[in-house]
Amino acid sequence: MNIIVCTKAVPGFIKNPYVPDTQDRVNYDAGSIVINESDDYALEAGVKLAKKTGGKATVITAGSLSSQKVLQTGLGKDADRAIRVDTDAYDPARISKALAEAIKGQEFDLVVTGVESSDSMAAQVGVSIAEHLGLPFAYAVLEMEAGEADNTVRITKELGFGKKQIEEIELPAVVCFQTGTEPPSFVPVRKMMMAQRKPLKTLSIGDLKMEDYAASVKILEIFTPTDLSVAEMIDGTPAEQAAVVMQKIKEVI
Amino acid sequence: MNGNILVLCEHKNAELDNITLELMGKGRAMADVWGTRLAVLVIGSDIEPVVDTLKTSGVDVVLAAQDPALKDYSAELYTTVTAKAVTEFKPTLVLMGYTYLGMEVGPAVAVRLGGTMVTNCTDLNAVDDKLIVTRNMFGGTLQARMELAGAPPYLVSVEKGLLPRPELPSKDAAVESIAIDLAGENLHSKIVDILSAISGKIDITKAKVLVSIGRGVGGPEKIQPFRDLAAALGGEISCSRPVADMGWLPVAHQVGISASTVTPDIYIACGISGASQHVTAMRDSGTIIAINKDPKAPIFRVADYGIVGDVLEVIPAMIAEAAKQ
Ligand SMILES: Cc1cc2nc3c(=O)[nH]c(=O)nc-3n(C[C@H](O)[C@H](O)[C@H](O)COP(=O)(O)OP(=O)(O)OC[C@H]3O[C@@H](n4cnc5c(N)ncnc54)[C@H](O)[C@@H]3O)c2cc1C
Ligand SMILES: Nc1ncnc2c1ncn2[C@@H]1O[C@H](COP(=O)(O)O)[C@@H](O)[C@H]1O
Repeated sequence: MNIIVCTKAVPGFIKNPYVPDTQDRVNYDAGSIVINESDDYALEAGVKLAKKTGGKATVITAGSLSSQKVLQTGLGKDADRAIRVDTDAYDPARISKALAEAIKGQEFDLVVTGVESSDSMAAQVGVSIAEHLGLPFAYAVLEMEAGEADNTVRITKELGFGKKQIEEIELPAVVCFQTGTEPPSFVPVRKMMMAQRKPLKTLSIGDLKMEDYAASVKILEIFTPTDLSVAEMIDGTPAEQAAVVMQKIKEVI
Repeated sequence: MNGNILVLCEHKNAELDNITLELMGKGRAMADVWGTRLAVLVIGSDIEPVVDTLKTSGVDVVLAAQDPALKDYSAELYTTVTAKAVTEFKPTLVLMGYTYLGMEVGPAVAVRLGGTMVTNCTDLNAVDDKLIVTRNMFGGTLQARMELAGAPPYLVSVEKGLLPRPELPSKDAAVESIAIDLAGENLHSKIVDILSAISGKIDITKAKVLVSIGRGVGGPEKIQPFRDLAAALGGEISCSRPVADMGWLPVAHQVGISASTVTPDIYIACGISGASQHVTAMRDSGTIIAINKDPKAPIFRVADYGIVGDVLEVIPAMIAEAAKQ
């Protein structure tokens, strides 16, 4: 199975966020750049299944130059190829269109993504890619393997509140991977350095020749949700805080 | 802006999920201002009781998609049915929960119909001629107000538990069936099995007090004080998803949309950021206490009492205090 894994570079934490005049993104200073959590699980599972079935794994990301780091992580985890779509857009609608267009140009049987990115928090790009490509999809997947029937993938997905479903899906398909109990591996420094020397393919938005690439939203303002908080905050030393909060607890039980 | 509004219904054992009641309240208010119709789409195999309830629940139209093939949830079939309903009823606005259903079916329908979707919203309103949403970003530490700029239909998914659930004046709703030839559908996926429910030695849904730990606790070796506090308060220990994923606690302890919903008298969230998938399942607890070192953590938004601080310092202090009392 040839497998394409969508991985997003996300900030570990952010400082000084603001909306630029273009109103199509939030700019910020990133504390660090990391691979999005569920994408790390997607990457691990995607590369493993590609190798097991004698296929190739490709990692793809849509992002600015600094997002290359997640592609190197992918190569460090033995992906065969890496592609970056050069854009710094936020818009999940645009990102999914661009990724779908880039994926169309590749040979693949399966596309694997994460469930939700920690910065956009949209849970939208994976399924949108599937629909742009006209492919069947599964969301919140915990496990996958080659299906019993030819040319299928067998997945276990969450339906919520402990319920799970096992499905066999015809290939090509898109699978959105969830975090799970098998921790993703750590790439040793030596392998990471080797990965940094491997070639990366870059596609510009222009290369993708999309007819319609309009923004789906206009960002008006950003604010901190706790501005809306009604919680009574308890100040003081830990001992003082503990005394107050234990008193509050005593009043209830 | 005007046009009809459609709510995607979630129901279980003939009962409406709260998210549906919340969206119906919002949809009713907007449709009244616009002078348009509000519909609810119900999908399933035995949906008569739900349709009956909805007939007098303040909506104008109930769209019923009933078929034995819709007994078990299938992303593929539910997407086809929802897209058909949207094509027939022609809503400007489609409302759904930021739930498993909304996350999977929503984006698919939006792309299929060339509409515009914004997910994970905490509120939405029509302002002048524009649809404005507020949504979560950056782990919930920020929220953004956005205007929908693309083409209709507009699809908006909303976090559960935030919108009010007003008592709507009863209306005599028309019931229209969404007819689909599911036998003729060329399916690309097949359900092999459905696995049910979490089993474990403990049942956190019965606990009166929950001391709940998140990734911020730092590691499995740091859990004992949290157990001690739970014991001192006659409660149990529970956790967020990463804690169960990493195996620090069994999944039977997990709170959230993929595990259990809890409503203890006291919920103490320790080093839990407050992601919607967690908060949805504990928001109806009696008294919520949040301890987090980040003053911007969204968990403080649902808390009654908040402590900005290091849980590894605050919890031992609470145990010491409990011993004193
Ligand atoms: C489909 C789907 C289903 C999901 N289901 C669930 C679910 O059922 N349950 C669930 O919980 N999540 C679920 N999630 C995941 C959810 O989105 C979050 O990723 C998760 O809840 C985060 O867990 P956390 O708060 O423990 O970790 P984090 O988000 O990493 O937060 C850790 C927090 O600890 C704080 N902290 C760090 N150190 C300290 C310290 N020393 N003292 C005090 N505070 C500290 C930090 O400031 C931070 O706020 C689901 C996601 C998806 C997409
Ligand atoms: N810019 C991106 N580059 C690569 N993959 C992405 C990008 N944005 C989103 N994805 C994928 O889509 C999933 C869902 O992201 P989102 O819809 O932003 O919450 C992520 O887990 C990634 O796998």
